[in-house]
Amino acid sequence: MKKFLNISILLLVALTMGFTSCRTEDKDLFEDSAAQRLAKSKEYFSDILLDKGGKWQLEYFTTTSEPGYIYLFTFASDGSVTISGENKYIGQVLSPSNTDPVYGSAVSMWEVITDNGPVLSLNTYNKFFHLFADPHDIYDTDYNEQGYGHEGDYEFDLMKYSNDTLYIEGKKHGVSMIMTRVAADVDDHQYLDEVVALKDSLFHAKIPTNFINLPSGYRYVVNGGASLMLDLYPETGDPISETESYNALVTHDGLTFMYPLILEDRNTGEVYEFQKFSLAPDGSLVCRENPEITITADALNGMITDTKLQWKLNTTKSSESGFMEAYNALKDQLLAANKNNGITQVLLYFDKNLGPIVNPEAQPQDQVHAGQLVLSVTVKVRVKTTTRTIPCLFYFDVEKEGHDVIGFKFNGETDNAAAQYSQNFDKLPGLANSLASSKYKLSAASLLAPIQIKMEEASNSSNYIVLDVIRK
Amino acid sequence: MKSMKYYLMTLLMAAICSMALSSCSDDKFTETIFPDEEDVLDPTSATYQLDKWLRENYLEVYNLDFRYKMQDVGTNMNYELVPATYENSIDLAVLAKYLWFDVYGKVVSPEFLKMYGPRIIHLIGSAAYNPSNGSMILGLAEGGIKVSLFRVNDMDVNDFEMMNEYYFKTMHHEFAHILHQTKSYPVEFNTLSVGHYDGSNWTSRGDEVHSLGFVTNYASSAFREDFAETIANYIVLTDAQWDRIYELAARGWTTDNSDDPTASYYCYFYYSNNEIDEDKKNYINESDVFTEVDEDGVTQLYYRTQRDSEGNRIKVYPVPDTDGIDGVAILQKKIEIARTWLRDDWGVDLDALREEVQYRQTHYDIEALRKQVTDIK
Repeated sequence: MKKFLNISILLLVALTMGFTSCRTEDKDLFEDSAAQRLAKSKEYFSDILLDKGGKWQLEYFTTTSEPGYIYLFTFASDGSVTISGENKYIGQVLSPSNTDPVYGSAVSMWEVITDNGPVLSLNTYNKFFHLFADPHDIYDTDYNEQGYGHEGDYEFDLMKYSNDTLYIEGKKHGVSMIMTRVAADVDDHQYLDEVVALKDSLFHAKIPTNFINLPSGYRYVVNGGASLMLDLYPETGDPISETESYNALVTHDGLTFMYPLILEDRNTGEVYEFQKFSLAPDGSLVCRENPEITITADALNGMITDTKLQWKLNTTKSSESGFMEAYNALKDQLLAANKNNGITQVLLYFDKNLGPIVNPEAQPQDQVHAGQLVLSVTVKVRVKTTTRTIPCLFYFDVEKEGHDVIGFKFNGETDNAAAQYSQNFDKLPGLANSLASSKYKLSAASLLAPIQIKMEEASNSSNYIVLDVIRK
Repeated sequence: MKSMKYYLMTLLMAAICSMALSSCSDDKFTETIFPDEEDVLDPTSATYQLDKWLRENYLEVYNLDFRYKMQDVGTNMNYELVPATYENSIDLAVLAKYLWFDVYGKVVSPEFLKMYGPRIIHLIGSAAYNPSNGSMILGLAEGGIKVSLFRVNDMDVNDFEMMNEYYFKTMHHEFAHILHQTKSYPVEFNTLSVGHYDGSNWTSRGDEVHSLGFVTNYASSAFREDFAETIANYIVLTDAQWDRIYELAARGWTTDNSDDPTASYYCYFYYSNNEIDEDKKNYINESDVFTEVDEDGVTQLYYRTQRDSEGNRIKVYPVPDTDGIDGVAILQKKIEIARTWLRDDWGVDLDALREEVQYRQTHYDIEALRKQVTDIK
C-alpha cells in the first residue's frame, strides 16, 4: 500500500509537470524579439534625426534654478553633429567673466543607442553643449556647484515622434523636453541671434511687471521676465507668501515654461494648465493651449500711471502739431526771456527731469497731490559755469477708459515754482492746458514690453506725442 | 513479489514522464533573438581613423575595448560626468599605448596583458567629484575588467607629471589591484603600517604621511590602496620625486591638536620673539622657512616674514622625529615586498618596468604619436 501511495504521488507530480511544461507556449504578441524591436527603434529614430537635412531645435532645460536655452543640432550620417547655441555660458567658455549671450558652434559625435529603450547619446564632449553637464563650479553664482554643475543631461530617452517633433527625456535627470525639426537651410547664427533678439524684446528690463491674463480677465502678476525666472502671484493674492517661481525659455517664436503652469482663476474658480506661448502680432504672448490666455504688460493707460516708471517726451518722434505747438511756444518764450536777462546761455533738456514726466509720486513730499499725475517742466539755465535746474510741477487728475484711452484733467494745481513762473511765462500753464484739452488714444509696438508709447489725440490722430519709458 | 498493479503504475508513470520530457521536443533552435550587427568599421564615419587605430592597436593586440564614446550607463549614475573630447581621446589612446601597454608588452609580453590586463578602458571627460568630502575619483577598476579614466578633458599632453597623476599612475594603480585580486600579495605588507590607516580622513592628510611610511595620502586610506599606490608611484615618479618623498619621510612631524584626525601637521617651529619658551612655540610650514649658511658654514633656518623686537631674524627649528616610525625604511620595505611579489608570482621585473616608463615619459613625441591615427586613410 505504501508503495502504491508513493507511486501515486510520483505519478501526480509527473502529470503536473506534463501539463505545465507547455503552459507558457503562447503565441508571441510581436513578430520580432525584444532585442530586434529595440534595434529597429534605433534605426527608426536615427532615420528621423537624419531626415530632411537633420536640423533640429532643442528646447533645453537643466533644473528649475535657471532658464532654458535654445540649441540647434545638425545631425550627419557620419556620426557627427554640429551643435550651436547662443547664451552667456557659451561666452564663459571663452571668457569666464562674460555675462552676455555669445554664439558658439562646435562639432561632436552622436549615436542612437539601445539602453532600456532608444536613447540619443551625444557621446563625445561638445564644449558649447556639454558645459551644462560638466560638474564644474558655475562662475556667476554665489554657491559652489563643484560636483554638480548645472545638472544638465546629454543623453535623452527618445519617447515619441509626431509631426516633426521629438519628445525626449533627459536620462539622468528626467527632464522632459522637445526637439522640433528646423529647415535644413536655416543659418544657425542668424536663427539664434533672432531668438536672443526676441528674448530681449519680450521682456524688457525697464518694464518690471507683466501679467498673465486668464480668460475672465483675472490676472497673475509676473516679475522677473527679463531673467526668464518668472515670479508669479495672483493679483488679488499676497506677493510675499503666494509668489512661486517658474523658469522658461524663449524660442524662435514664443515662450515655453519648463513645466506646465497650473493657475486658478480666483474669480471663477476655474483652473488652467498651460506651458507654451506664441508671439502675437501685437507683441503679446498668446497661449497655445488656450488662446484666451495671454501675457502682456499692464494696460497702456496703467503703464502711464505706474509708480515705478517715468515717461519722457520724445520730441523727435512726436508730431509738430497739437501739444507740441504749445511745447515749442513755451520753449521759445523761455529762451527769449533768458536772453533778455543777459544770461549767457539757455538750455532746455529733455532728460528724465525734463519735459512732461508722468509720475504720481514725482514729489513724494507733496502728499496733497499723491495719486495725481505730475507734469514736470524742468528748465535748466546755465549762468556762466553754473547750471540751475528749475522744476515746475503741474498736477492732473487722470481719467482712463478701457485699456488704451487716457485723459488729463487740470484744475490749476501746481507747485510754488510752477505758480511763480506761470506769472511771468503764460506759455507754461498753456502747456498744461494743452495736455488737458484732449483725450488720448495710446498704442505701443509691443503689449508685452511697451517701452515707447504713442499718445494720439482722440479727435485728431495726426496730433500725437511719443513717450519713452524710464524705470525709476 | 511486486504486484501487477505496481508494474502497471510504474509503466504508466514512465510513459507520462516521457510525455512530460518530450512535450517540448518540437522546440527548435530558432534564429537568435538579437539582431545581426555588422562588425565592420564604416570608412565614412567621422571617427573612422580612431576606431580603426583602436581596433588594430588595442582590440587585436591586447583584446581591449578602448571606449572613448561615453555611455553613462557604464558609469556610476550618482556622479555628474561628461564625455571626453574626440581630440583628447586620440591623445590619451596613443599615449596610453606608448607609456603603458607597450611598456608591459616590452618588459613582460603582450600575452601578459592579454591575459591579465583590463578588457575595457572607459574615458570620462570630467572628474567624478564627491561633494560631501571634497574628493574626486581619478580612476576606477571594476572587477579587474574595466578601468575608467577621468578628467580627460583637462589633460595636458606636455605635462607628463600631470598625465601620470591622472592617467598612467592611475592605470598602474588599478592594474596592481587586478593583479593582487588574482594572486594575493604577502600579508606582511599589511602589517607594516598597521594602526596608521584612516579610511575616513585620508584626504585631510598631507606630507606627514611619508614619515608614516606611505607614498601618498591615498595610500594611507587602506592597505590594499597602499599596495597599489606603492607600485604605481614607484614606476612613474622620477628619482627627484622619490628623493623628496624620502626627505619628507625622514623628518619629524607634529601637530598642535593630535586629537583631531584632520589637523594640519608641521615639521618646523619657532619661538615668538626668539624667546625660547614652550609657551611661545609656534609651528610653521616649510614655505615659511628659508635657509642661510652662516660664517661657520652651518645652515641656519629662519622664519621668512618675521623678525624679533630687536630686528633679528626669527630662528626656526626642525621638529624632532620622536614617533619611533622610520618612514624611509617602511617605504623601502613596501617596495621590496612589491618587487619580490611581482618577480616571483608574475615574472615581472618592477625595476625594468620603471626604467622603461621613466625613459618613455621624457622621450615621447605627441605629434608623431597622433599621426599614427590621423594618417589612417
